[in-house]
Amino acid sequence: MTDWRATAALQRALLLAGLGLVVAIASRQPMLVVLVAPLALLGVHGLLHRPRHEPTVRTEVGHQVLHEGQGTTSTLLLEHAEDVEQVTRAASLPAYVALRPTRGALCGLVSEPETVRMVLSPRRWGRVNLGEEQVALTTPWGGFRWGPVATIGRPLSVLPSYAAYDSRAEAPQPEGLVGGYRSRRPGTGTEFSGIRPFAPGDRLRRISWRVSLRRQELHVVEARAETDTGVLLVVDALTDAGRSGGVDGRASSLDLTVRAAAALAEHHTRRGDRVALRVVGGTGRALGYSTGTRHLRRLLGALAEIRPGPLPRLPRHGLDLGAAPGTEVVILSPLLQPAMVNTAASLARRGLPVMVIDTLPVGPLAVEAFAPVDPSDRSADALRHEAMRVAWRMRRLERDMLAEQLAHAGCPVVRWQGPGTLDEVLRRLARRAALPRAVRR
Amino acid sequence: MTALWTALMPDWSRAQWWLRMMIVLGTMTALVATGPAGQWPSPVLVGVVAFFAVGGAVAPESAALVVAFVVVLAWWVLGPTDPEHPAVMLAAAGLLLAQVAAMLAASGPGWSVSSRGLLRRWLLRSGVVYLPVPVVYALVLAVRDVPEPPYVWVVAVAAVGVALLAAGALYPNPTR
Repeated sequence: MTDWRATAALQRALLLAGLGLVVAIASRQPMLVVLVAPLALLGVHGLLHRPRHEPTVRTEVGHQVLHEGQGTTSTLLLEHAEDVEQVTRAASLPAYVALRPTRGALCGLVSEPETVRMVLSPRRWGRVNLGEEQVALTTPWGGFRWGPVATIGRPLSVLPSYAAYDSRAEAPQPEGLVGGYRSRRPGTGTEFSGIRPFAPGDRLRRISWRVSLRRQELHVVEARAETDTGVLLVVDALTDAGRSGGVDGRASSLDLTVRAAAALAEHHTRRGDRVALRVVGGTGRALGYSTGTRHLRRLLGALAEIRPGPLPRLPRHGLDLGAAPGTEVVILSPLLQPAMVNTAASLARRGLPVMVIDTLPVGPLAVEAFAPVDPSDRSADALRHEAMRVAWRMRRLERDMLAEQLAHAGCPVVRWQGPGTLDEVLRRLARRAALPRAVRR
Repeated sequence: MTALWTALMPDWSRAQWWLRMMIVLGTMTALVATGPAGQWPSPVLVGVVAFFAVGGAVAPESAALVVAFVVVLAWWVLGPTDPEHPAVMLAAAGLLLAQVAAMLAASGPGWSVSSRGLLRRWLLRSGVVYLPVPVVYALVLAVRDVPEPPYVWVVAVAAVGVALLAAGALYPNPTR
């Protein structure tokens, strides 16, 4: 609970005006009245506009869910504000939220729209609390002030923006019921598979009359079934390498991971595939197989809630992701944890089509953080910096070797490049899936 | 050196820098306006007023600005040989400028920006409250040589007393 209080300006104006008038009378210096006349008028106006109502304030954020880079407004709602002329707002500044005005603090008239509506734009996926601010109200002529009072914010989900992604490649082992991929088994699709003699149970509209006349025996056209596929997206949230600059800045490894996962989820749900999500590390969230717009929203929401962090128990030999046979497994990882590499290798050994998308940022991570130092500089800082630079280089080499070994083990590793990233890999996996192969179960 | 300068500089928005500069400028203008009226302030006095004016600019709600204003008013009583010089109107403008700038600067945190509408409204208001200054000045000049009736000072004191009582009745916590 707060009250209207006289401002320092009103107190100063009244004090100086009174003092000036008294001294003018006492010292017979009427010119002092000239000096303090404006202050006296300011004080009198301030007093005349004394407030009579107790206002209430709250803020309302325009949206509950946003994609990173999109904007919304935080509207100040005032009640019993008949006495209010001026509003002062100072918003809290959450990380990765752009505000207008830039620093989130403004003084303006209550009648001005830009004072009442503050523009906000989250610049990175995640959960943010918007609408938290300090609000003060002032009467006309700046005589009395109410507040500042703190308003309660509202948590907002900022979904990752999915970069344009499209793939024309077939799924390697589609084993669903209905969908857009050509299956290896015959069915009722439109893709020509072959011609064979008529058998009881064949549909009459499948009869090829031209071939039947030539062969003097009924023949039917055989087609391949069209099925969907199951896609398991495995997101490595064990570490976040690099520094994020938001949606229009530099991307950290987790930024790349989450945005790529969002793009893949959107692409596959649009095609009617069943998509599941498994977050390794941090929140450790898992979502089962499903499809459709509602499931896509759930997937994006789960991605938005990812926080980097270790698992309480991380087996070195790999994780059990519960991937069913025929599932297309996409692992998005900067490959800095051996457990993720081992997981990919063990899934590939089981005969599952596994792809690893390398999400370690290129360039800036190593160049900026661990740039070479002057060799003549022998200070402790310089030596520590040099040691870190060498350590990071060794870590990178180790990681690159692991990625190479993964590729040799039949698990392709590709860098995320947006549309068509996985096309070539998927085609190779589809060709490989058509060949007979012995796998360890 | 640049880092030290950056560390020492207050984190104010451009609007707040301007407002706080206006506080110092207005106060110093009111002080040095006694120069044309016959007595320039001594460097020590300028330093003292500048000190309190800068203090008022840094903390516009503090008593530093009141001290600066009181010193300026005292100097106008004690200093000038010709207190009825038109420069007194310049001094009144300076005090008004400092007062309004301090009020606007104190209405938000140092990094806040003030809307154009607000600044325009206060520019207009400043003009309005400044209008009586030339009128009062002309009135003072007009009655300068008129012999005052013996009761005039009693009436004046009574008027000031009534004004103070009225202010006390209205001030300071009207919602209670």
